[in-house]
This record gives sequence, C-alpha cells and structure tokens, in this order.
Amino acid sequence: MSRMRRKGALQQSTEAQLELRPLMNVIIVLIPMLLLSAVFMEIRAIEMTPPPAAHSAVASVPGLDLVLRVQGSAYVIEGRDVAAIAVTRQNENGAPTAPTAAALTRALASVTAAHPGTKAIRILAEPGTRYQEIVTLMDLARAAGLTDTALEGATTKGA
Amino acid sequence: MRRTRGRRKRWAGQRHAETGISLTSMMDVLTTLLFFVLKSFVTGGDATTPPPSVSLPKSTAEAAMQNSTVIAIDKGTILIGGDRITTVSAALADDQMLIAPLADRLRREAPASRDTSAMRKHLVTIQGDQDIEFRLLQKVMYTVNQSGYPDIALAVLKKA
Repeated sequence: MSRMRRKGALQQSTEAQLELRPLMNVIIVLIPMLLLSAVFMEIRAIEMTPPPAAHSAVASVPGLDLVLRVQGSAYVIEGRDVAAIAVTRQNENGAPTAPTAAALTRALASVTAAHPGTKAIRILAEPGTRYQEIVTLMDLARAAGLTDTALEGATTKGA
Repeated sequence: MRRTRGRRKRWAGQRHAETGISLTSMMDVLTTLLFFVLKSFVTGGDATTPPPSVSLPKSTAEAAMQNSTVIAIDKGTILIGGDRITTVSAALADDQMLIAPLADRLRREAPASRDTSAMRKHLVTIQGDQDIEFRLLQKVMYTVNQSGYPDIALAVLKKA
C-alpha cells in the first residue's frame, strides 16, 4: 500500500515539472536579437574648459598663453615668448591630413620642449570650423603634452 | 533468459525516460547570458548611447564617460534625453550666444536629476555630430556654462 502511494507521489512530482521549452525558445530568439542590435563602439570623453564669455578674460591668462589659431589656410601657434609657427591647413573628411597632423604635432612638441611644464593651450577656431577638426586638434595638443585645452571662438557676440 | 531480457528492456526504457535532456542547466546559462546582454545595454545610462542621427567625432582620448546630463546635437536638432529642445537653424539664427530653450531646460533639469553624484560635479556631456560647426558648439557650451554647469565633457568615439 505504502509502496503504491510512493509510486503515485513520484508520478505526480514528475508531472508537475515546469515546461521550460517555450521560455527557452523565447530566450534563444531574444539573445541573438539583442546581440545584433547592440552597437559595439567605445565612447570616451574629453573634459575641457568651456569658452569664456568675452575676450576680456583672455588678457589675464598667466604663463606662456599658448594659442593654436585656426586661420583660413593655416594653423598658427603663438604665445608669449614664442615665435609664431604656421602650419599649412589641409583637411580630409573634416580633419587635418596625416602630414598636416604630423607637422602640427612636431611644432607643438618643439614649443613644449622649449618651455617645460607648459600644459595649457587655447584653441581659437573659426565659426565654421568642423567639430571633428577641433577634436583632432585637441588630440594633437594632448599628444604633445598639452593636456589642459580650452576652446575659444573668433566671435563672441551677445555675451 | 527471456525473462532477464525482458527485465533489461524494461530497465533500459525506464532509464531512457529518466535521462531526457535536462533543460534546467541550459536555462541557467541562457538566463545569465540574457541578463549580461541586457546589462551591457544599460551600462552608463544614456551617457553612453548617442542617438542614431549623431556620428560622434573620432578621438584618441582615453577618459571614461561619466553619468551626467547629456545634450545631443545632430545636424538638425538639439536634444536632451531624447526630447527635442530646439532646432540648429533657430539656435544659429539668434544673435544671442545664449540658447534660451536649452538654458530653460538645463535649469529645470538640475534639481530634478536623481543622480546626486552627477549633479555634485555639475557635469554636462555634449554628444555632438562630427560635422556641426564650431559656432553652434560654442553657443551650446556658453549656454551650459551660464545654466550652472561649469564642467563640460565632449563625447567622442575611440579611434581603432
């Protein structure tokens, strides 16, 4: 009698198992779908000093006051006690070409080598300068050891 | 002998019934994988995922993104958290440096944000399209600064 009860209990327990297959089917469909829609890109951040409200604030910048000016067909590097260096501005897909980038890096590195401890540079861009070009200029400055970059524009209307 | 064979067959049948594919372990693996994939979507909140209309500029920067208020600028609109704030043409047409609708939204956004760590730092991340003009970026940055956010980060795509 007790044996029969045990058998019955065993049968009941096997019948009450969860039906996992439908859930599994859903998950198997979901995983490839999520993986396919995922965008595998690494996003980084450049923390920076925002542009000042007016040019009046610029006069009190201490030290070398290094400036990288985007000026028509050239990039001009200038500062206190620094002879102006001009590099021809050649762009490709909105960013400086490889030779232009190399020339700029050399010029910036020569300034930082001559004035050790210089970390700050202001990038003066034209109103129409593309964002990619500005980011590339910031990269080049950082590569030359100028880690503290500030952005400024040629026009500051209504500030 | 026949009886033994019969018993063996019965045994084999029982064993076969008991050793059906165990889906429980498979379910465990798949569930873990599902959560892992879902988590990788959510990591960093909205700071990491730019809108599809924004192609971020490429950079060699290494600093990681921080959770913050995010302003996205595509070729036509300025957005905060997916909400359209103003159009690029309207922002550029105004002679003032301050973009009024953006400033209003940022001021409203500041006390409402639940993430105290982000607000303590008063950080705004700008996810700008690589083709936007500097004068637009400058106006946005000026507006951010005037709205009580002194720290600005530019979101970029890491160069391969």
